[in-house]
Amino acid sequence: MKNKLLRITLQTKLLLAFVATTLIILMVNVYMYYNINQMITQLDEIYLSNVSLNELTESLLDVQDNMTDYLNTKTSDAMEEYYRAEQEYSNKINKLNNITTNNRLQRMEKNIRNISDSYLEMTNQTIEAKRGRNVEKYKIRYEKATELYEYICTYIYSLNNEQFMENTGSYKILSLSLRYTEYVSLTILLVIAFCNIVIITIITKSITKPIRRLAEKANQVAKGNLEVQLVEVRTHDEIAVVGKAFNKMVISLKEYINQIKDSMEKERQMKEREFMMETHLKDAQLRYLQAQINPHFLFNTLNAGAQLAMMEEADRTYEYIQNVAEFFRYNVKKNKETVTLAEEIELVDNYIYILNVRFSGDIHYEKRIEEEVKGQLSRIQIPSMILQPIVENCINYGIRNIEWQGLVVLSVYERENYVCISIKDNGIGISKEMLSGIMNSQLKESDVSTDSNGVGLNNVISRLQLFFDDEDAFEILSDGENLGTEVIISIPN
Amino acid sequence: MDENEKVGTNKRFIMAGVLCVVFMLTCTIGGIIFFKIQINKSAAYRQANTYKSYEKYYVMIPSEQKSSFWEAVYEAAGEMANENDAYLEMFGTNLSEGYSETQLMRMAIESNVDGIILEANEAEEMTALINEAVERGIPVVTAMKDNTQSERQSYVGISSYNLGREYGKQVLGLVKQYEKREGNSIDSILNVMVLIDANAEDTSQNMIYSSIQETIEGMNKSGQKISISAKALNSQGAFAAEEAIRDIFMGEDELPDIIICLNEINTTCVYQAVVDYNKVGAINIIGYYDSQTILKAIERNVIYATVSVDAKALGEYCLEALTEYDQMGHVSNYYAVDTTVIHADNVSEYLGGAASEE
Repeated sequence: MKNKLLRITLQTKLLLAFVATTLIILMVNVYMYYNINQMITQLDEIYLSNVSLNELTESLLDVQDNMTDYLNTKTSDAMEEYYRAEQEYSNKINKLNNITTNNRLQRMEKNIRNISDSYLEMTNQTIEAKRGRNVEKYKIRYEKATELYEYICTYIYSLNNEQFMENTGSYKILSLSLRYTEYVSLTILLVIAFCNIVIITIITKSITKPIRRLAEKANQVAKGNLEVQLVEVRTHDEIAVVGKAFNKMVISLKEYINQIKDSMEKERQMKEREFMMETHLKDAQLRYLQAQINPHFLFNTLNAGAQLAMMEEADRTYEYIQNVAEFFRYNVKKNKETVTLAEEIELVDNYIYILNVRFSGDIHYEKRIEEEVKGQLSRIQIPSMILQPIVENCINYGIRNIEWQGLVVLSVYERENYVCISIKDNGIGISKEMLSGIMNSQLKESDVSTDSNGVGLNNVISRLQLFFDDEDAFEILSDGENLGTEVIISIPN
Repeated sequence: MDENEKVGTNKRFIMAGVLCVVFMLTCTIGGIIFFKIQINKSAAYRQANTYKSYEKYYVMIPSEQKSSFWEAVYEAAGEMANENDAYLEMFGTNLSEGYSETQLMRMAIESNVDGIILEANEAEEMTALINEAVERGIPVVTAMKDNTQSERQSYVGISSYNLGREYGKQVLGLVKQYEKREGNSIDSILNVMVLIDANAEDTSQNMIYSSIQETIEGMNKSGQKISISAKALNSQGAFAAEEAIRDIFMGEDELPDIIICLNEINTTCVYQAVVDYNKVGAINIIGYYDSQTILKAIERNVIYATVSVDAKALGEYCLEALTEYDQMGHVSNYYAVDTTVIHADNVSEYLGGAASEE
């Protein structure tokens, strides 16, 4: 039963509600109208008895008139008419009551009937006598008949009056009933209308309630709560269809959002891997670059040369070779990513010494290290093989071919939160275009002098930038041609 | 929780709906029942199928339908008729025209009734009518007044002789009072007037008159001379009796000392006339019947005494006669009804009884 109820569609539900209520009202109305109609019919019938009595009187008059007519004229027409009237009256008389009751009207009817029978007998006898030309008899009979006729007339008249009075009573009661009926009908209609409203309210409420529940859930979903309970669908109407669709939508939404979340996660992971690969590549490149300046063999050889010079007691050669060896040992020893600033500066010292031996002391070199920084030198970590290539560059490009005495100044100072390493020469300087080319790593391999030991400025710049993750860690300043060059490395303190 | 609540509200909804429908149905059915009751009520009123039917249809034709005496007779007879599966009708009351006794008699005969109780008279026309009725198989019982010449089945009434004796006795009672009051005026003659209906052709009045005469002459032991005269009143036509009585008071040179009335109407009229002409005490009335007016008049000492016929017994005897004739085919020729004399001493019990009857 309940399942069947649940299976009803919305349209059917509404239809049912309206049809049922309308049907009830219709039925009640029809019944009421039927009743009222019946009452009106009864009302119409009330005075019917009076009407029939009047007809009876007319019929009686007919008989009397026709009899008189016949007595007057003795025509066969009149006789025919008389017999017709007599028959008619007789028929009407036979319909009257013939039983003694305590109802005076019925008794009157009975009396009328009996007197009428006598009357008709008398009229017939009168006619007979007339036909028999018995003048004496028919006159007497006529008189008797007329007397009876008058009695009957009075009786009918009286009965008519009495009945009219009685009927008026009936009429009053009926009209009162009709009035009551009106009130009752109105009351019933009102009650039914009220009940119908209640029923329709209930039905529509049962229809709209799921819609409101659905809307509530939808609002929750709109607020981002995808974890709402699914709408419970029990009926099989149109709202159930919407509810099902809504449930499907919520489920699909959840699925899609999960998919998007998954793909975003994957993307993130991919990016991370990409980044890792990049760093690894950079690392590899660094190692490669370091490998370029890793002269194991040379170092061993020089060691052997230094031992030989020591044995031959050639002290200056020994020292020279020793310095060269130091220079290369640094490479061997410090073949790792980071070193201390102190070690780097020592490497520069070694390099300058070697060059001075090679170029007979042509290279002037000055170290200006601020007292505050001195203590930090062995603490500050920088990528290895940074300062030496810069100094080499200074010497190779800056001051090799100048007419005046070349000078390289290495200074370490503190500025703001940075420890700055400045390598400055008074050489030929760098043109603006060259400068931006260097900074943007656009120097071609051909531009790099082949007699350098292989670690290009490019390498140094990228390593520094990678190491400190700072584009401004390396800076080349030059005021122009022949005005010298300054390289500043800023290390965050 | 939510689920339960939902189910709960659903149930509540369904309950409300069911209640509504039940309420609606109740209202409708109630209304329909109300309708039925209303319709049945009016239908019952109109159709009146509940009327009781009777086997016999008797009619009563008194000379004066409106008198309380005949009404009392009718009531008693009617009750008895009901017990015998018969209906008694005061004939002619429903008619719009007033008919004479003979006309009513004619109508009753032509109506083919089952029995007639008739206050007859000795008129020949009445005799003929009674005979015609009997011929047609309608038993006729005469009441109070007989038609001795007719073939009527039975007569129920008082014996005129006895009635006359009763009147005579009352006159003698009055004479004693006169003697006491007037002492030595023995020479004066006491005038007694008996009012007689001039149109009545029966002998009963004559019987009564002679009986009164006989009684007074035979039983008058005092020396008082009493003169008895009969005054015939022309009662033909409406209100004739009343006018005739007024004429006595207006026209007579010497008013009688005692007036004897032989019917109710005359008694009442004389009483009223005595009061109107300020003759209370001067004229003594000996009346007939015990209507309220007459009883009150006795209480006030305007009417000396009244001879009352037991109307109930009269009615019952009439019907008994009819029923008996119907059953046996013959019936006793005469039923005697008792008379009672009511005077100031015993009037209270009749007054009380009459009052409680009403």
